Amino acid sequence: MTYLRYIFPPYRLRALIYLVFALVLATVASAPAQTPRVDARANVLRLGLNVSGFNTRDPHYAASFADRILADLVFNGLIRFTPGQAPNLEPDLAENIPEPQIINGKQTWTFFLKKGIYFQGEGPLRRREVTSEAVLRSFKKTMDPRRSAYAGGYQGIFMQALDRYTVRFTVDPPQSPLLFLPKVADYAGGFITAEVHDPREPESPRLLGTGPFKILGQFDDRFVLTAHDHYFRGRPQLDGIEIFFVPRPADRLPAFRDYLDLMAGESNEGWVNRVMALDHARVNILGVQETATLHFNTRKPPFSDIRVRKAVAYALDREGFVHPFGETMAQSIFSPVPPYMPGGLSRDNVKAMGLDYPTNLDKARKLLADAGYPKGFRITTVASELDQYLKNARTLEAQLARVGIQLDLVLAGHARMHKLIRSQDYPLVLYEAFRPNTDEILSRFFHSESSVITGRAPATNFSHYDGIDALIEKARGERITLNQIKLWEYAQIKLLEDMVVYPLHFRQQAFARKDYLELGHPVTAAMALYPQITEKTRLILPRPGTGERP
Amino acid sequence: MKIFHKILAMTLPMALISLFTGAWLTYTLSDQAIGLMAERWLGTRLGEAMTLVKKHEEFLRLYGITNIKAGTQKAQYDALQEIKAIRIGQAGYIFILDRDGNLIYHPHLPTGGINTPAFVLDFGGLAQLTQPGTDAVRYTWKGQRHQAMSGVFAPWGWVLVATDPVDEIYGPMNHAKRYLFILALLCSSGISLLIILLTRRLVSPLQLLVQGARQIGRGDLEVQLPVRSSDEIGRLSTAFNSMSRDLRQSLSALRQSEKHFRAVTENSSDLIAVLDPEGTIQYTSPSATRLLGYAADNLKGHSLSQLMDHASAERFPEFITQVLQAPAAKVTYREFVFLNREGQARIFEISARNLVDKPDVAGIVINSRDMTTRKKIETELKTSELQLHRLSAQLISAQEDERTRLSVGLHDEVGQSLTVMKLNVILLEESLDPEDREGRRACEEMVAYIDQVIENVRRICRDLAPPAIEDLGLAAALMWLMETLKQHYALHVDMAIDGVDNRLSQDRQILVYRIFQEALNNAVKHAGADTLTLEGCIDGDRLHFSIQDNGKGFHLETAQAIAPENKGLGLPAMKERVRMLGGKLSVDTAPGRGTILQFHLPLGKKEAYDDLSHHTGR
Repeated sequence: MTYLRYIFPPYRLRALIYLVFALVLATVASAPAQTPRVDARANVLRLGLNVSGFNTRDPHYAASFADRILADLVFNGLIRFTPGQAPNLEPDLAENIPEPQIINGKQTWTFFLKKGIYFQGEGPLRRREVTSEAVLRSFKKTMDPRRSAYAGGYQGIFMQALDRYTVRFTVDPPQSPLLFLPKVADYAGGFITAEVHDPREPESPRLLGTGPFKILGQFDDRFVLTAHDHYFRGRPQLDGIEIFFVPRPADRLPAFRDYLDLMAGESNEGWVNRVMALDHARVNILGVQETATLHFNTRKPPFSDIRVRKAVAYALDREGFVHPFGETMAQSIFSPVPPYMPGGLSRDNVKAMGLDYPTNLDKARKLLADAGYPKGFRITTVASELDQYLKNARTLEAQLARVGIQLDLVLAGHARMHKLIRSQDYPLVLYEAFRPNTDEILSRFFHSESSVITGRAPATNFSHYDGIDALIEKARGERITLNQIKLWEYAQIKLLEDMVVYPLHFRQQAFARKDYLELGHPVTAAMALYPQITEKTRLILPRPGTGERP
Repeated sequence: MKIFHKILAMTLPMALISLFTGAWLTYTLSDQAIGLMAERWLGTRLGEAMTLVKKHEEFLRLYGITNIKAGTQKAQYDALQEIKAIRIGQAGYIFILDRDGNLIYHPHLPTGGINTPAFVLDFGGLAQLTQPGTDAVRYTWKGQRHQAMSGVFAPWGWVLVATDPVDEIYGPMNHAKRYLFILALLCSSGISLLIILLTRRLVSPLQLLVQGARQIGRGDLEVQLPVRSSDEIGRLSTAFNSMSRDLRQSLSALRQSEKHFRAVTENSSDLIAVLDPEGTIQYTSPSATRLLGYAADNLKGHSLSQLMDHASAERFPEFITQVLQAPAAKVTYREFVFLNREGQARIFEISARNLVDKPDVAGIVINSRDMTTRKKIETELKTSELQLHRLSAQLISAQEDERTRLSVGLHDEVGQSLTVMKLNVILLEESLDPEDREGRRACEEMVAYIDQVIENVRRICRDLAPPAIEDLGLAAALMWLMETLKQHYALHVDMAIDGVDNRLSQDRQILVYRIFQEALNNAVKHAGADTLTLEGCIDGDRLHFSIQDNGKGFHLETAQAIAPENKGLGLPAMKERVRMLGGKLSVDTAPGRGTILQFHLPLGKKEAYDDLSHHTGR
C-alpha cells in the first residue's frame, strides 16, 4: 500500500478514479441513443434541463437559466442568497454580512473572510486559499468589461485588501444594502473565481470555484460534476451530478419518468398535473419569477399618443394572460416591478390611484376614437416561439382584436426574437425576464440610456421612454432603503400614469422532483433559478422502481 | 357637655364631610383628568396621523416628485395605509374628510377612495370640525356620544379626525362612580366608629388625670396614674406621675430642711435674731435663754439695745442705720456689750445683714456670738506673750551679763594666775641645771602650753564679751569678728557696713553683734559656706543688715516645723534678738541656693529702748 501511495498520491488517485468514472460515462454515452441505464445505488443525482447545453462555464458571463445553475453548483460569493429562500442573504465565504460605515466621507463595506477555504483543484492547485488577494483578483475580473458581462454594475466601487483575510469595498456614490449586497453575493459578478492558466490553452484560463461540486466535463448527452471533497461546509452527500439536456418538450416527461431525479419543468398547470400523476413524483414551484410585460413604443405612432396606450390598457384583461398558465403558475402584476421585489406595487395600491386600468372596452374604444382611431389600426411585432412567449402573444392578439387593433405576429426563434426587438423599432414588444433588483429593472427597461437602437447604452428600453431618468438615478443614490423603495414606487406610478408599460404577470418556475431526493432545505425562491443542490442534498438509495427497495 | 361629646360633635361631621367631599373631588378631578387625558390622547394620535401625512407630502417636495399627477394620490394612499394602523383604544379610530365634509376615509363606512369622496358627513355638529379653528368637539353618531379632535392638513385639503366614544373614555370612571360613593359611605361609617372609639380611649385617661389632680389638691401626693400608651396622653400621665413624685420628694425635702434648720437654729451657740428696721426684735433663737437668761418669746417687741450696756446702746442706732444703708449682700460686724439677766456684761460680736427687702425675712438678720470668754483669753494670751518676751530679753541680757562676768573673771583671775604660773615655770627653768636638758625642755613646753592657754582664755574672753564695740563701734567689732573667723576658715568675704556706728545703744549693738555672730557661725560651720557678703547701712529711718552666704541652704518650712524641743536655738534666738530690737527678720533660703538673712531695725524710737530696758530690767 505504501508503494501504491508513493506512485499514486491521493490527488493522483482521485484523478484516476475520475478518469475511470469519466471513461465509463463516455462508454455509456457513446452507445446508440437510448434511455440511460439507471443504477439504483448510484449516489449521483441526475438533473434534466430544458436547454441544449451551457453557453459558458464562466459565472461572470452566466445569464441564461442553465448557466446560472452551473455557476451555483461550482462557485461561492462572499455572501449568498439562502438556498431556496431568496432574497434572504447569509454569509458565504465571509464571516458575516457587514453594515456600511462612513470612512473619510466615503461609504465602505468591510468583509472578514473565513480562514482555511481552498479553491477546487487537484495537486498543487488545491492549496490555493481564498484570501483577500484572491477575492480582489476575482472582482478585478468582474469589473473588467473584457472579462465579465457584469462590469457595468460595479462602477464607483473600489477595493482594497486590509490584510490576508480582510477586504474593504469603498462605494462612491454610496449605495443602499439592497443595491450593493447582491453585487457581492453568489449571483452574476459576485461569484469568487480563481484563474488557472493552462499552458496548452493560454487564451482561455480555467476557472476554479469553491463550491460543493466541481466540473468534470461534458460527456456526450450529459455534463458531469463530482463532489468537492474539501468543500468548506463539508463534503457533499452526493458523489456527483449528471446534467442531461432535454430541449424537446415532448421528451421531458418520459425522461423524468425513466431516469431523471430532478428536472426543469414547464410553467403551466397541465404539465404540473401530468407530472404529479407519475410515481414518486413531486413538483417544486418556486421563484424567482420571470415577469411578462407589454412595452409601448412612445416615440412612434400610434403609441406615441398616450390615449392610444391607455386605450390598449383598458382593452386588455390580465386574467386572460394568466389563464393559459394556470393560477398556480402565474399571477397578475400591476407594476413593472413585481410585488415580491422592493418597490413592487400591489393591486390595491395601484387601484387606489386609478392606475390599474380595469378592462373597459367602451372606454378603450372611446380613447381610440379620441385619438383618431375609431376603427382601430394594424400593427406588427415579433414573438418568440418559446411556449410561454407564444401563449402571451396569442392572448394579446385576441384581446386587441376586440377593440379593432389587428396585431400581426412575426414568430421567430427565441434568440432571434431577442436580436430583432433590440434592432428593430417595433411599436410594441412583449417581453419576459427576471432582473435581480428593482434598479436593474427600471434602469434597463425605462432609463433613456437603455433605449434600444438610440440609447447611449442600449439595453431593453423598448419604449424609448425618458420620463423617470431622474427618479431612477435619485433612487440609485439614495442610502435610506425606505426612501429608495418609495422613489422606485413613484417611478412606476409615473410609468403607469404615462402608460409606458402594461404589466401582465409573473410566472413561477416548476421543477419535477422524485420523492427520494431530499434537497436539504425548504424551497420558496432561488436566484439560481432552480431548487438548488447543496452539500446537504441527498438521494435515499436505492432508487425505487429499479428492482430494489428504497 | 363632656369632652367626649364635644370631640364627637366636632370631628364626626368634619370626617363625613371630608370623606364625601374627597369622594366627590376625586370623581370630579378624575373626570376632568380623564377628559384632559382623552384630549391629549386623541391629540397625540391625531398628531401621529398629521405627522404621517406631512411626511408623505414632504417626501414629494423633497424629491421633486410633484410633477407626477398620481404622485400625490400615491402619497395620500401610503399615508392612509399608515393612518389605518393607528389605534385609539378599542373603539376609537381616525377618519378623514375633505374641507367640504366629504368622507375620504372612515373605517366603518364605505368610501370612494382618495379620488372620489363618498358623501358629506353631517351628524351632530361634526361639520364644525371642518371649520378653521375648531379642534375639539363632541358629537353623537349612531346614538353614541363621541369625543373628537381634528386637524386640517391644508396642502391636501384633508381634515383628520381622531375620535373615540365617550363611553370608552369615561366608561371606567362612570363605572367607578358608584363604587366610589359606596366606598365613601363605608369608610365614613368605619371612621365614625373609629373616632368614637378613639375619643373614648382619649378621654378615659384624661378623666383619670382629673381625679388624680383632685387627689393632689386634697394633699394626697401618693396618687399614681396608670400609663397605657406612649402618646401625648401617656406622656401627660407620666409627667403627672413624675410631678406627683417630685412634689412628694420636695415636700419631704422641705420638711427635712425645715427640721434641720430649726435644729441648727435652736441648738446654735449664737444668738440669732431678726429685727425690724427700727431695731425691734421680731424673732430670737432659743439660745437667748442660754446666752442672756431671757426667754426668747419675751424678747419679741423689745429693742435689742435694751439688752446692752449704756455705751453699746448708744452706738446701736448708728449701727442699725449703717446696716440699712449697706447692700443686702454685705455683712456688717460690730461688737456690743450685752447685760444678761444677772446684770453681767457679755461681749457679743454682731454680724448683721439687711434683708428688709426680702419678703421671706423682711428684717435685719442678726447673728450674735458671745465673745466674752475669747476676749478674756486673748487678753491673757497677750499678757503671757509680753511676759515671755520680757523673760527672753532678761535671759539674753542675763546671758550677756554672765558672759561679761565670765570674761572679766577669766581675764582677771585665770589670766593673772596663768601669768604667775608662767613666771614660776620660767623661774623653775632658770633654776634647773643647765645640763638638765630634759627639765629645761619640759619647762619650755610648759611655758609654751601656758601661753597657749592664756591665748585661749583671751579668745574666750573676747567671744564672751566683744571688746571692740564699746571702744571702736559696731562696724569694727563685726570686722574683728570676720577676721577672727578667717583665721580658722578659708573665706572670701565682701563686707559693706557703713554708718551703723553710734546709731544704737551699746546693748543693742551687742544684740546686733550676737545676731551676726550666730548667723556667721551657722554659715561657716553648718552650711559650709566659703563666700560671705555682709551689708549694713541706713535705709531711711531704719538700719538695714544683710548676711548672705553660698552655703547649702535649707528648707525653711521644714526647719520651722520642727518641734521646739528638737531644734537649735540659733534661728529663734536671732528672731528674738531682732524682735527685742523692734525689727523684723526675714530668711530667704532653699537647698543648694545659700541663705540670705536680712533684718531692719527702727531708728529713733524711744519706745524700743524703753521696751528693751523694760525687758532687760536695766
